Amino acid sequence: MKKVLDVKDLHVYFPTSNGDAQILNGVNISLNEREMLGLVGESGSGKSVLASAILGNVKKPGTIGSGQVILDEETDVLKLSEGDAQKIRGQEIALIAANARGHLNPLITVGQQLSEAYMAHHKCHKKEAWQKAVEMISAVGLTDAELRAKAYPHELSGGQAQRCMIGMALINSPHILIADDATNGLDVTVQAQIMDLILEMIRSRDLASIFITHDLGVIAQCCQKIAIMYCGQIVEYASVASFFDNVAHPYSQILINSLPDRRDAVNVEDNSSFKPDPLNLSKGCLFCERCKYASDRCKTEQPPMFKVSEDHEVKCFMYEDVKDGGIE
Amino acid sequence: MNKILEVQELRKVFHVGPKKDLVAVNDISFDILENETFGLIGESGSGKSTVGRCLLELIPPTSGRLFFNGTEYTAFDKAAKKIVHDNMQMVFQDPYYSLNPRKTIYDTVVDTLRVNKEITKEQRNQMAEHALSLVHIKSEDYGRYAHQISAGQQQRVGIARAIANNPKFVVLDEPTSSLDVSIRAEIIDLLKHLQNDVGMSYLFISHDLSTIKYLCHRVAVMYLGSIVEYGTAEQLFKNYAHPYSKALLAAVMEPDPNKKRSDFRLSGEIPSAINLPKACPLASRCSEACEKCFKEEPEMIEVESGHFVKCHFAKALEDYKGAKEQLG
Amino acid sequence: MKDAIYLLKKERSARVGLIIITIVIMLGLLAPIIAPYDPVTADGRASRLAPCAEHLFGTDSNGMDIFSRCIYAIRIDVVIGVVGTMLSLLIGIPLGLVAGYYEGFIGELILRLADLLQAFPAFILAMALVAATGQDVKNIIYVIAFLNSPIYIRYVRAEVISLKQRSYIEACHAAGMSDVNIMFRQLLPNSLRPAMIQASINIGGAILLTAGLSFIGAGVPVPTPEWGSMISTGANMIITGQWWAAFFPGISIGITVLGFALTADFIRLYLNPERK
Repeated sequence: MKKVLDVKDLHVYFPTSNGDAQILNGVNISLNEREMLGLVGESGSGKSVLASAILGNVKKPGTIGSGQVILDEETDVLKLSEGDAQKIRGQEIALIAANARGHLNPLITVGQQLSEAYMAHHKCHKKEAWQKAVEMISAVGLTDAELRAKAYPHELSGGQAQRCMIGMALINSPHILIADDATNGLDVTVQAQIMDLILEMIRSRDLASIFITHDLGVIAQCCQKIAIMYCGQIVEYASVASFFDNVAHPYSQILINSLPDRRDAVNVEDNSSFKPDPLNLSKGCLFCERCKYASDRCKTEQPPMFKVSEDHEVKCFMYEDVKDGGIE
Repeated sequence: MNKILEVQELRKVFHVGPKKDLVAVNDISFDILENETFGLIGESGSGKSTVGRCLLELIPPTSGRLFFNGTEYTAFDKAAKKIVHDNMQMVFQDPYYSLNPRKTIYDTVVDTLRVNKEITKEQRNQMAEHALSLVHIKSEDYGRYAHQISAGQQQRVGIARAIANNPKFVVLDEPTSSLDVSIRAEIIDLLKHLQNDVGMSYLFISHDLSTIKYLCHRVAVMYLGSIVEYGTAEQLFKNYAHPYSKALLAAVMEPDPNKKRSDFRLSGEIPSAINLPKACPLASRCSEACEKCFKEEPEMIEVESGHFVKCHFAKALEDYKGAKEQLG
Repeated sequence: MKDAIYLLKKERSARVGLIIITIVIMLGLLAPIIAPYDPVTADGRASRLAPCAEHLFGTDSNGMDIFSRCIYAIRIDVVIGVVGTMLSLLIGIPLGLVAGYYEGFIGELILRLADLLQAFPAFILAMALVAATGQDVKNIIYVIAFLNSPIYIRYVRAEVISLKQRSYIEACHAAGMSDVNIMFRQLLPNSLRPAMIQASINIGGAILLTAGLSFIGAGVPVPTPEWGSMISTGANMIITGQWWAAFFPGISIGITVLGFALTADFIRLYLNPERK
């Protein structure tokens, strides 16, 4: 099984006048061919910076501290020049973000935007690019594609604009897709349609994909692997089946308990003020302050990833001595 | 059980241009009981937010009647406003923008009480402090400003402001949609606790089905300004009868890898609410629609005790099971 | 106070601005003590002297010491600028509040009146009004206040229109607060920032307007020391190579206007609620 993407010990920080804000603190994830990985993180977890890093798009003042992002087992995206990185973006890896209309140029038609995206990676005539654009617009489920291509973004509904974004991402046939909160802000029934479309595209084009979301439902239903992100680190990394069978990390447990149907403890206390300060991270476990199982060791030492089972790793001292299978 | 709020044939039309009338709320009727949480589900354009604002007289209704505890308060006069200000309050969607950036959170809560001319300054401060303690905001944080506290805390302040004057009825307009998942759970549990301890009714407006299922006793589903189905939460989630409710439930992805979601989808997107024809609002998207659906507005039919559906295919009470099979 | 000092330490432009206007104001206040000569006494024997030990900035064609006149002119120019602008704010802010909150007929009326006023070229209108009311410091202040108020009406109105949509204002309505309460206690403090920043820059503008009017003889009457009229009388001397009579008042205007403009930056940062 070829690893199309391998992120190794990635550290990214943003220098500020008050010190360095540590945003990514040692991220390790990998993606195999045709695999779907779900990345769960709340605000402040660094998930969007991770997406930017994978695309080789960490802009100043963001700085790569250390680590690698290996594409197709050969190229380190982080070491590429801007010109080479641009060749990869769209052609090998593509990104779909939320708020489609905010990412589309309001002054040119969607057909033109897709054409431009195509011409960025293929030397061809405008006419040929336009053809491809119209084909793509039809492929993402918009009727009357010829007509639709001549529309401006504000003339489209949220769902239609998101379809165009998906078209733009896929027009150059990448083999890796990153969906960053792709259905945020859309109506529930439209979200369902867009998810159907994304899944259909992934299946028919044999794509490997990363779904960045905070919706555990999406991951449960669509992904094979899941990674939980907290404060710039992956704290739990497992196959979806193994994860939902045994939610190991205390943070993951909080997330699961937040789901109405899984609620086992009622919690009215205010825990939101425990967000770690990226300018001043502790030497110990970054989740320590919020963790009800924290011990003294957790405050001074950072836990490594421990294997809970064949396809399940957790970054927590509670699982230090667990060998395959024997979990509480 | 006593009806704390009763709404009869509420209608709100916005005149948006020559011969263009946007029907935001289309002659709806419902009631809310004492200490009940009534959920209002809908997507964008359903009119759910407008309903909340009409109940609090923030937007004057075009027609219809509103009753609080048996007393009519439809007229926009002084007596009606007094009823509203003494007994009803609202919690808003965006926690940060719902607070005055130049006031401390303590002042924000106290200011709301200033309107009540019958209480002294000491009583005001006492009530404000009581409300803040109920939402678990610590006294050392009283002097902080909105941008200095977390989103969860901001929303707690919003809730404290709403309950400070001991209202009997609170409208909550998507109070958790902008919050992170783990914070959402805390706020929902807080609201539940408050209802049990203090005693008040909620109108909980949201598009998040799982939260509504967890929190609400009775629910109404809105589409394009009309209530298309209403009943207890259990009736709606287990015995849904309207195709729109079915589509909403089919769109939800359960966080359980073993439960795959249904394929039922509505075609197209939500149409414009301008110059609505007198017909079933869902006709253009419903796969079961027949000629009658496009010409005649359906009646509210009672399919179970207390469970009403607005659909031509719904069969009253005993015939209900037959209708369910027909919808598939 | 503490945060004002903290800001000054951090931002150089704010520091420079405040230093300049502090020096200018001190000089103006201490004019009788600092100025070596009486600003309006002409001494025929000392006319057209180049800058030297007895006359730091030289003398003009009437024999009056330019240094003393420059210092005394502060009392005219800066006072007109500051007081005129303050008065302008006093007129513009409440009108802007009302125009923004009640957008209907009243709002439109106020806005049209502002339009009317701004349709005329400011300088010409200023000339006409001063001529009509008499060339007197008091009248110049009133004219400046009147002419500049539309600017603040618009700034405040714009802020109010955008802020009244915010849910904290909705919450105030829901709580039953009166319109007056909402306008003055909730909206006003949050709507002032753009207006105050602009006001600081406009003080400089008012000084320039005064100087301009006086330059053409339509402002402060001669022989009252005022930078603009000083430049006017001094301009004649440039042809004969006597540059000092126009130069020093000119540079005084430049430095003072710069000082007020830089202070605008300080106000921008100080009034930012998220700074705390």
